[in-house]
Amino acid sequence: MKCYKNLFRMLAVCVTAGGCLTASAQDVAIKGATIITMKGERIEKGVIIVRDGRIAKVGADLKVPVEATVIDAEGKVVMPGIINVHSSAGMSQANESNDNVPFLSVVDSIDPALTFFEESRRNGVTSAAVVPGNSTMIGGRGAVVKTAGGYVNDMVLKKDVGLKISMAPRTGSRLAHYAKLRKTLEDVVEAQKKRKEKEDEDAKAKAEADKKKDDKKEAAKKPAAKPKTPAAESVTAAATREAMESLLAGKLPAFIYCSQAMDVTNAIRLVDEFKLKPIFVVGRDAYKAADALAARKAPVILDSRLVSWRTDPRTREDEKIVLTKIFQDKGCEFLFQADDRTIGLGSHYHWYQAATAVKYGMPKEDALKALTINAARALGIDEFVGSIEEGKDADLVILSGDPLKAATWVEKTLVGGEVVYEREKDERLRLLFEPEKDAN
Amino acid sequence: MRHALSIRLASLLLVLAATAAHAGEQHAFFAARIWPGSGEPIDDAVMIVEDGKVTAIGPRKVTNVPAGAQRHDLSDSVLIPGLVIAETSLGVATDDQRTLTPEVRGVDGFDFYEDYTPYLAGGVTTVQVSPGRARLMPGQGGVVKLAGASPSDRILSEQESLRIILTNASANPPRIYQPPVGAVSVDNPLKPTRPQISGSLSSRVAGLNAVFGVARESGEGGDELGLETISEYVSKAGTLRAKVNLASEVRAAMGLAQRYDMKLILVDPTALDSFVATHEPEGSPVSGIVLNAGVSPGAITNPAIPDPERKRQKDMWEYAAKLSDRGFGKHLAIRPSVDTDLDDMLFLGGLFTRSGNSPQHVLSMLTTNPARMMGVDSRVGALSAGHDADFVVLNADPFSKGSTVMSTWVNGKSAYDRKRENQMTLVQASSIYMGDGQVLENASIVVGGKKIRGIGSDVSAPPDARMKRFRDGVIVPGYIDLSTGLGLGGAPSSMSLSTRVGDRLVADDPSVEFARKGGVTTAVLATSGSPSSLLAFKLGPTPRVLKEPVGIRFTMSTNLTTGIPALKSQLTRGKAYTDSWDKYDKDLAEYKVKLKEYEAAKARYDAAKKVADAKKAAEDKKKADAAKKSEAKPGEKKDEKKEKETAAQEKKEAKPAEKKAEPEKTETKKTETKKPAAAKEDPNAPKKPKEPKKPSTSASSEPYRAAFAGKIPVLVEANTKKTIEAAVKLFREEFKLNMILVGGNELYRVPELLASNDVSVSLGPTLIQRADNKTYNLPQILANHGVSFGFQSKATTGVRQLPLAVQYSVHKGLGKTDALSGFTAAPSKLLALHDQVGSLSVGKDADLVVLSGPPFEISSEVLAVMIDGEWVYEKEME
Repeated sequence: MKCYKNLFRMLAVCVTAGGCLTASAQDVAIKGATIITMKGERIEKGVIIVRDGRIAKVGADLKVPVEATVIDAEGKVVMPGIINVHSSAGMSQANESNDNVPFLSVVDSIDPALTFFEESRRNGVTSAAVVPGNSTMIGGRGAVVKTAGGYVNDMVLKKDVGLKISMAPRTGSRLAHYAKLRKTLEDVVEAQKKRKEKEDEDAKAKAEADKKKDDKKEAAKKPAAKPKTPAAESVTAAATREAMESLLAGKLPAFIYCSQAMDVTNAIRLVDEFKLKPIFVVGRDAYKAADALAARKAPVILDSRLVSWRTDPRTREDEKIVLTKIFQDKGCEFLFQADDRTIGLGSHYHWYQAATAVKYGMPKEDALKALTINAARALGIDEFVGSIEEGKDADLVILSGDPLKAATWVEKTLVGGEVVYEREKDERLRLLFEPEKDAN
Repeated sequence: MRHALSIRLASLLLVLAATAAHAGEQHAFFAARIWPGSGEPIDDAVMIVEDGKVTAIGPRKVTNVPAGAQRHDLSDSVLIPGLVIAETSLGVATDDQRTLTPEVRGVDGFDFYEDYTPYLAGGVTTVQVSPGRARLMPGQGGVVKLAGASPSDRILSEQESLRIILTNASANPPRIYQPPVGAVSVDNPLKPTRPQISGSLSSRVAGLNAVFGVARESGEGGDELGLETISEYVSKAGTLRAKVNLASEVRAAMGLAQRYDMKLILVDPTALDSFVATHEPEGSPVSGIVLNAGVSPGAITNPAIPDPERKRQKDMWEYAAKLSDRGFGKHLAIRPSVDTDLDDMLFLGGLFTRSGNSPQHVLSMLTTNPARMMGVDSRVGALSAGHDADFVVLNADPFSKGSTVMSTWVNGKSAYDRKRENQMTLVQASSIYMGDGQVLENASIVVGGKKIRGIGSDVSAPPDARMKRFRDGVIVPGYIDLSTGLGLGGAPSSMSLSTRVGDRLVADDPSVEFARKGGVTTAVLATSGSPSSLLAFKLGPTPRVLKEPVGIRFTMSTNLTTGIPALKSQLTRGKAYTDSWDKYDKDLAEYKVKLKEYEAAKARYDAAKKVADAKKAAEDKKKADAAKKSEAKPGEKKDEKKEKETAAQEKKEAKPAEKKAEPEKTETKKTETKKPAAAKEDPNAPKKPKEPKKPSTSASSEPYRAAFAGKIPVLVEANTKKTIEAAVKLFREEFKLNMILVGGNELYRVPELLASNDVSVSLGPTLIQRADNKTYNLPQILANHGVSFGFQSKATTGVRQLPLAVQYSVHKGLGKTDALSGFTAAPSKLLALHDQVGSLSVGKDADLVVLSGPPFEISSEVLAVMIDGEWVYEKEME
């Protein structure tokens, strides 16, 4: 028995030695922290070894390669970077004035120099789904980007994460808006059908022609009638067609914005009719449809104002509406969204949103999962980010203490294994906290 | 072995649980009457509901109720199908800029999460939703339920009809449609403006003709016009829903429908004379006529005076009758003039029962007919096997007076339940004996809380009052037993005058429960002590004390030689005690008057003193100031004058105070002066009057005060002639007490004595005496001598048999009215409880006994007993 143990030890040494040999200068090791992996138990005094921007190893008792840059995180907490699941900041303008633009992608609009990204890093957000705003009908495609990088192309994690569809009209009649939306989708289906019919016809004609060719072989040297080439499609039209067809095929999810409960009903009817893959972005007043949303089992992104007051129109009684509690009670899994515009102080931060939910009865672990792994799953990027697991991107946040505590600070943020934010070097933060200089 | 058994048991339980779970989805609703929507109403019916659908309906006797079904007893209620309203604008009704928006769907604008409780409370479960208000073709209507599990289940029809508006409302859209100008680009070119169909009816109809024509020919066109949608209606014989008022608009709509092979629903026609005169259902495109009720319940408006040149327009119910005669009966439906009236469609429907439309026919206009014209009749509009279990529970037949929705059910689930806030009960019977000799035939009693709130053949009651009908029942006031051993959960021991047992009465005493089944609702608890205090209480599940003491009970000893002096000394002591208190009361009253006077005088005195003090202080100050200054100024004179004036005034005020002041010292805190030292010094200060001294209270003598004041009676048990005579002499003649003779077995020997001395009698337990080979019916003898009497059982569970004993006396000659009075009004008066019990009138306690026939008829039995507004016994529940 004992000799087996020794054998294992020896093997382990060999493996580590081998690892050491291949270790490069980019290796990073985070040591001594409590690790919240979002997958299984917390690891106390654990080590994360990062290689080539990915997490190579996570564990309690790991040997740190000598070459690795060691980040001493003794007494600190490490968790996966937060994923901003829905935001219209990060680009120059949330919505086009044209409300039917499926051919557009936010990638062309993202500006890495915006403070949005700096702010994100400061708050431990490492990935952000930048999605066109809600003031539209079909508002273009969103993308998931990392919050660090100089060029958009380097930052993009997933290019077409979803197409924005809004159930609320920008102006005018809600009925006409629905009718127009339905008509647009019906037209795509219709056009697709026609094109398919035509393709089939063409294929048939070609086959017949080939057959004739075979029959007559060289008897008639006339070339077979060429199938009509379709009129050249404009780039925009092609992009629109592509986007809409992949939407209807369920490949491209739809971020469906529902400002009211009745929008949810109509959205669900559209989803069923056109077989869409929905991510529901629900407004503050849509909570009445929490039942219907829970039954769909699709991702639901709550409004940034989690707590509000409502006056019953009949009894005139005021009622406190806590969105997280309502959705939790209905058994509906949900995700948080931070306020893009700094209206509320707190709702601007994902931390605050999660802490609010915890205050109203959500288990802490669930709230943190909603910020990370659940968000990644909803966006279809959980293969890369969202938890601390071997092989995933080393997008990590080092916190000074327990997450969701008011006194906890983000100490360091790592994106792809690189430290992209450090509190000691945060100039803006320093200016903010520096005592005012004497007027003299 | 044991294990095997338990496993078997467990598996059995599992199977049972499984079957129970399945059977739990079945419900049986028993109702007095069910109106299925089409066909005759079914009396004493049952409806079986499974998984939200009706599976069977029929008379209770012939319908098989599944064993596991959950039973709902609505046996006092009437069931009708949930109402279906053929047109509303519960969808968003904002109008588009464009005149033709056929692709718009009303269902899209319907908010499933809105609170529709007011409409469900009116019995409406299904509505049509129409888009738009003032455009020629605002879109398509749909049919939705106002409640249900999920929004998708609630949509019955998404594209029910294509709506056109031919009334003047659509004559003035924007003449030129200007598409909104956004950011113009290659993808989003600037769209041209275009003229819209508008203006006169003929030009609008011509426009529609052209649009329908193109839609039928090609089915394709610019997507701006939505021709594809229109072509679906034109080519597939869809329904055209036309809002029309005038005869010309009706005609135009008919023309369009005929030309393009569409079914037609006419909405809101107001002039139908020529239609009635010329059209027949045969070959007509008209599949529905939706009549607008035109009035709001309870609202008063000023309608325009009709043009005398024109033919008089009829009320809608007149048209309804005429159209029905013409064969359009199955095409008619009713809609409210505004959506908010959906909360009282039964009242609006009731208006249509004028002009000879039968209630059943009107109900079909609110249920089956609209469902049929909208193509949703396979699911709603009727209650028969296969239909959705959407129904309304009413307290009376629909359209009858006071008919109110008690609850509304959608898909077999409760969607609305009226909260019975006022908890009133309406008890109906074939006759009511008021207790004072009056008898009401076919009358009702309204009970609210513990009291009677109305009585008569036409009573006021809230519409949601609980109804309790006793078709052949007779209601009498609850009986009063003047002496029982009830209340303490067993035979009570002897008690004295000082004993109070009011808070020791036992709740849910089984003997009380047994006793009240005889109809006794109020009992007097009496013990053998002499003297002892008596307690009157109600025989409800929780005993309620009416009065304690309600009387003093004495027993005449048969040994008069010792008995009379003993009683006499007791009474004398009681009288002395009473007198001492009477004196005190008199003194106290006097004192109170004096005290009031004193307080007024004191207030005046204090005010005057304050002024004087202030003045004095000011004067002192001034003097000091003056002393300071070396030279006096001429202005001082004026001040002096002022001072004099105030001093005079002060004197005037002080005068009356001086007069009234009495030379007595102050006692209580209330009137303590702020400066006692100053008050003592001042001989002019008013003096406080002296409070009279209270005599000491004695619990055992306290009842005498009420007795001597005539507030409570003394009940004297005496049975032989001699003792009766002695009792009358002592209590009535000597002490002038309000005396009730108890027992009085030999009173038949001295009835005149009782009558002349105004002595009442508590008879029992033996009412019929046999002596000297004769039978004496004591109550009858007393009745004939004008002596008032009540009954007593002196029993516990035997209280139940007291009515039987009285019945026997009636059998032997006692009048029924006298017997009833002796059981109710007379004893309540004897005990001075007649403001609460003993007769039936508004404001009295609701103590009722329902009999199967006239009281004291041998065949009559007790059907139900109510005490303090609660049913405490119901025979049918046994």
